[in-house]
Amino acid sequence: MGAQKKTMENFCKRTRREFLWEAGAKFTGLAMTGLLTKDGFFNTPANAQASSASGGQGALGNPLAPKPPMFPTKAKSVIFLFMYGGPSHIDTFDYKPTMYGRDGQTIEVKTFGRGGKRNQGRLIEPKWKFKQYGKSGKWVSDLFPNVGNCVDDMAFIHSMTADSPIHGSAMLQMNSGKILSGAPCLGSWVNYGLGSVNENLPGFVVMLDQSGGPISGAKNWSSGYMPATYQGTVLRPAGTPILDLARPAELSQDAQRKLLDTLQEYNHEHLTPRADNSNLAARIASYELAYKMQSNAPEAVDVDSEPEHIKKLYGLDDPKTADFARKMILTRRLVEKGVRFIQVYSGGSHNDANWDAHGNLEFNHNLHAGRTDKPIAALIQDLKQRGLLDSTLIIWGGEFGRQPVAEYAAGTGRDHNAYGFTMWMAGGGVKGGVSVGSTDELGSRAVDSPFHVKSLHATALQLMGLDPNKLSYFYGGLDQKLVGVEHVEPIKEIIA
Amino acid sequence: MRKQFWGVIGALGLAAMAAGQQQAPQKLTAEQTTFFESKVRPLVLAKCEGCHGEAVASGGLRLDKPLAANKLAVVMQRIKGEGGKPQMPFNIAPLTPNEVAVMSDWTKQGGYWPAAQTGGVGGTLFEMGKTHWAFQPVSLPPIPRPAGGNWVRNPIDAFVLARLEKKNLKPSPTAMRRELIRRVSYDLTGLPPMPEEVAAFEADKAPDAYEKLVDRLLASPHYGEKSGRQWLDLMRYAETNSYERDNPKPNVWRYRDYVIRSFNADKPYDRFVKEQLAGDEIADGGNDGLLATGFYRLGIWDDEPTDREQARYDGLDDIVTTVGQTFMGLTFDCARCHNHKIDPILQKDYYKLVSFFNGVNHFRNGGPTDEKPIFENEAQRSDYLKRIDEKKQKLDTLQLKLKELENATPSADPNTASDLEDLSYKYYRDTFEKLPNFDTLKAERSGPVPSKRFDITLRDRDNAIGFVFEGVIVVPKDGRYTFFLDSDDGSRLLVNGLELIKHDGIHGQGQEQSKAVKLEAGRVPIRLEYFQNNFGIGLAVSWSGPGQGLRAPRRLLSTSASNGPEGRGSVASASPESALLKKQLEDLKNQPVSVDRALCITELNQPIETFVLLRGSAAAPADKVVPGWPEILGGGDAKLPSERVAVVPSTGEPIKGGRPSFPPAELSESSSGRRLTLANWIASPDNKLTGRVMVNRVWQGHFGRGIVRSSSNFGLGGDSPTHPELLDYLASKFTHELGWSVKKLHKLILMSNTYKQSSRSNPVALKADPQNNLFWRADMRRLTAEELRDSVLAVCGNLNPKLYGPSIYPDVPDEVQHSQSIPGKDWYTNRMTPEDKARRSVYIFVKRSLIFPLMDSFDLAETDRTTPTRFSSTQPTQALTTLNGKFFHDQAKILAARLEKESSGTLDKFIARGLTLALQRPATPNEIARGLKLMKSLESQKMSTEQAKATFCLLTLNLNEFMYLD
Repeated sequence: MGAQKKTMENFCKRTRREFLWEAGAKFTGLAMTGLLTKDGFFNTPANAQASSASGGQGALGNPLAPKPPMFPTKAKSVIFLFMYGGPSHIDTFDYKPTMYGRDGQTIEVKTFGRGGKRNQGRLIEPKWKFKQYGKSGKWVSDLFPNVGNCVDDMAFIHSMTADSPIHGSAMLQMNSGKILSGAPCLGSWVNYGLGSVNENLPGFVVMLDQSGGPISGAKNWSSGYMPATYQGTVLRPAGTPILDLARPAELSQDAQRKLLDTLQEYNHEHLTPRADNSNLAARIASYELAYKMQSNAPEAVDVDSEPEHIKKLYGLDDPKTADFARKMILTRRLVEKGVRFIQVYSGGSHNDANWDAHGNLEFNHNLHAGRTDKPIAALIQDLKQRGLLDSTLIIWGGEFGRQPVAEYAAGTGRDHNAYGFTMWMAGGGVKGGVSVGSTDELGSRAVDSPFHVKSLHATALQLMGLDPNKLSYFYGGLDQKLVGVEHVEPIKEIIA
Repeated sequence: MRKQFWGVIGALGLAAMAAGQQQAPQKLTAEQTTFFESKVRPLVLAKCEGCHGEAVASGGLRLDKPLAANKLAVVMQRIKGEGGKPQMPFNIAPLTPNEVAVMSDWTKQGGYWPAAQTGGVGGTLFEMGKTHWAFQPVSLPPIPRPAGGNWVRNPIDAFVLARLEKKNLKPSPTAMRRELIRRVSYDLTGLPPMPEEVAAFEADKAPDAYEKLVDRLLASPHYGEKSGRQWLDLMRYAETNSYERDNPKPNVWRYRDYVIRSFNADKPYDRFVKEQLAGDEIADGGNDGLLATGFYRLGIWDDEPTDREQARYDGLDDIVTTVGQTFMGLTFDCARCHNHKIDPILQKDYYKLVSFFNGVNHFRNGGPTDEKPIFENEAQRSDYLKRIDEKKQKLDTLQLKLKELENATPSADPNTASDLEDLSYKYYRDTFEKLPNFDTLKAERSGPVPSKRFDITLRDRDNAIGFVFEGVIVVPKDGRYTFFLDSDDGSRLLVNGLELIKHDGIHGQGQEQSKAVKLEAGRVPIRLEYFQNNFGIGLAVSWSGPGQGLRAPRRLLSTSASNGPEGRGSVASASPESALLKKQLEDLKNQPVSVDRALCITELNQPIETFVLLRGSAAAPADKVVPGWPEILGGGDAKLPSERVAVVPSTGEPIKGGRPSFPPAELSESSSGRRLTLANWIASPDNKLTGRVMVNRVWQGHFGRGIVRSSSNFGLGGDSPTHPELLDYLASKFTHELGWSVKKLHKLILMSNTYKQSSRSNPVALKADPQNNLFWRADMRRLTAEELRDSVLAVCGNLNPKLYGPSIYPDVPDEVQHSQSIPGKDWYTNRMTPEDKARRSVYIFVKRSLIFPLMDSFDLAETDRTTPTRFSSTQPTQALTTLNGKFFHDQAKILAARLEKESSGTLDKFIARGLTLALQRPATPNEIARGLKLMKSLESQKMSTEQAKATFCLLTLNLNEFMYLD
């Protein structure tokens, strides 16, 4: 029977997978059998092949075992730099020269944000100057002087649209494609489609802002209706990187090893008369993997071992950029180790702890761009100089953009804008130095080739070698897809 | 035997043809029709239509229509994989040579595609549905008489054995007693048996020893906790709303307790279903009837949806999904946007179901439309109403005294004193041309009004704004009062809940409206709505009446439009007496009249008309529908009650707070009776699905999988039953003879020899039936997340068996809390005693955005959607939790202390007792020696004896034998 077969039936068509997934009680028990055999854990491969006691799908294998993409592709990893709160596109990458000098003018413009729908407002001109960068001559604001130097490796999508201008549902949509909670995230889909080449680290890693998680917390890296195997693991750049990774102080490594050896003796004795049950064998193996993770994960996050020039390149030496620099270096190290999907949040918690600039735009964006510009630029450069940029897709953006007009009677704060905003991608088979789509002269809405969040997701999957209209997971009577039931085209203009 | 699904379609298509003798379309010969219907249509629908059909026409090509002449060759080329382009069907197995031949013949004949012959939409699916097993009436099948009749303990065994014998297989021997007691204890209570209980059971030679055990476990109050949690999975139980704030839902734990109590009381399943769907509409519904409807309120809820009406339909969809899948095992929700693609379910059927629920108040997270008081008896109710009334009287008295005092003060200027109290406002920014339904709109700002006037100076701009003020007006004595209202632009005044003056539309000031009304002395609710579109602005409200002197001068209720707030505070210098009165008044207002409340459902005064929504969009209504039955299950309109049904009366509290909803909430004192009509139809022995679905779930609980593996999908897309006759036997027995008693059903299953089989393998059966489709043995299973945590607590000896009550908040590591946007929000560990934290896992607060880590790691049900089957994943992070996590280390120490006491000091007894507690069996000498060796070796590394003991205890909690059941 088919194992992990990405059956290409469309729409509500049922596939054999339904059985596999819905009979979940048996499915992931086999999680480790692939690894077991690989590790030479079993002397006889027959063990790994045997159908399990609980009706097992012996041939199913490890759900995170690396799988070939659906078609040849360059990208192997994704880095999603999530600017939580919603950065203002017209103050960063979407140059609106005609807005300068019009500060304070009351203009007619339809907007929809936290404060409801409005028809007019007080124009706030972009608060930073723009300059041209690179061969492509891309206009970038003074918020991102370092990222600006990388524009020839970046593709800008200026006509992004989303369904909701409210953080909760917009965050869910940017991560999972749906404004209702309970669906798997992009990171889950990528791991589901491709597996992970590093069994000692999670395949989907999330790094949060120092101020806390984003609103809705773990819903943003949930695997929804897929098994927990595909959910994001929160990785802390300092201290114990993964929950419960550190042995308690009273247990030395040696003592733990002895404990494990004895545990496995008991477990093997238990297994002997139940040799057909691969679930038991998988659990035995999972302890060995956990043991390896304990040494591998801290090594992976050991940013301090990097050479000085690298630390400097990312800005680890500057208190302003140090935190994000650490995360960016760590991100690169994880990419090198084959982690499939890494999401890093800039901004957390509430109010000005993230990009949600309702009050003082200048204070807010100077703060968050100031913390991230240099480390992000360094990441692009560093990946490039190591020859890894081609195989690493970087996505930058928030859950929406911001409005051209002020939110309040006084101040420079802008409300949310899901009608039009900018995101960019780099590496991983993305065409460099291009821009697609546009907003109107105020940046109030996408006018030229609007791209929905679905298109962004479709593009990311396509670049990873997964057909967005075919990658599906049977759940609740339906072949669910990240991009939904209707056909969605990737953004071909930015694919090299 | 489970066939490939598409194989089944083919077979059914043939069967339909053979039975049908349909009319051939005119231009086709009879031969062609037979060929087409038996070969072509099933094949195209199975392999092609998904990408080349109505929903998606990939490459602009549809194969479920007559093929254009110029496409015929191309189609064949692609099917054969010629011409250098990807072979079709894309990415699934290529067609077999026979299938290619069918397609070839068909295209050679011109690629015709006659309309489906059964007429109407989804004709083919309906044709298949006619013979689909789940849409046939449940019948009591004859009980087989297998050769090995000795093994047959009850008819279940006869059905199972007959199938085994056909395959020349034998059932496995009975499991060892200690395996059996462990299995049945976990299956019924989710807890391990005590080693002493195991020993007693092993020693009990009475023929009914096992039956006594089953009876004892069924009578345990922990039975409800285990069965209840399985039910909660299906009902997407959680205690918060998800989304940005993920706020707690009020009183949701009472629904959880209702479920546990219902299982413990062995409430008949039909009653259980009716209570949840319509307990408020059942005449003798009582508290349970109200509490049960909490099920409607369990889903996710966005308090700031982008589109309120669409969000309301999302809420209805959540209900239809849960009801359809849980009670009937059908995915009606797949037909929200279009006819079901794989089941004979029309889009219209979906909206007929919606219309049963389209009279309920959308969730508001609290308030009288979501919560009602519950009382043990009438006396309690009247006592509560009396206390409410007393409070109102007291408030009125205090307020009037205060007013008198203020009026008597020399400084009391009618233009500065205020007659309004507890005044709050909501401020809106939008362009209105008429008064909108403010209750459906999200306010920009809201709060108390300091000036105690209808104060539109609280605005921040002069156009495109709206206000709603709500509070009470202090009526000095009984009498007739006149209200005056003038505004630029529209306004509306409501007194005592009734509209008094409406001055709507765009207009200037100067056309004052007035109207008189009789009022009683005291605090009378008042509400003013106002909007300003553009140009000018103004609002003037005043009143006069008998209580205000003979000449009844008008007293102002608003501030003037342009100036700042006037009359801040009504008394310049408060006298000590008035200060005291004020304090008393405030204190009294803040004293809630205490009462227990149920999270429940309420209805609007009138159900909302329901339309088929094109592509599921609330903005695209098409045909109107009324409550009725799905076509495949008989169709027709539902017979609804001619009059509205009485429900538990509300207590007259105003609908305040909560979030705006569309339509605005109403608190009806009666109900449409639609849900009860649906409930009676579902919970009927004649319903083809309800009984089958439930017996299958109970079966799944004991065998790890249902007789139908897809236990929430009995449609064409679901798995076929491995033992259809057995399923029908159980369903028939359950709904008739057993009177829907779930406990009796459990017992019937548990008493079978089928259940009691050993889980050990045998090579012959394993080869013949590796999936155990025939139940030739028991399947092993891992403990569920709850069972794992509860077992650790039980084995370590500190499980707190307390039943029921508000949820608990065990420790969550700081780093996990830090993933919240407000770390620690709504997680009240500090309110918990250690005993609270050691309660069973079913009582752990279920916060959607912060699932308790141990539960999350070990595959708790997804909280946002109905979950029929849990995953049972194996991941290294689980091992990290059980090896390094604080909970496991703490518990290991507690276990060590327990063992110390129970082992009289010797190390081998310590080890033996530890293994016995964890595994519920005596330890072997070899196992004891192995433990001793470990401890010696740890001690040789300078680990303290105490620590070595705790380390050994940790080991026992990680044993596979501890985590898995035979």
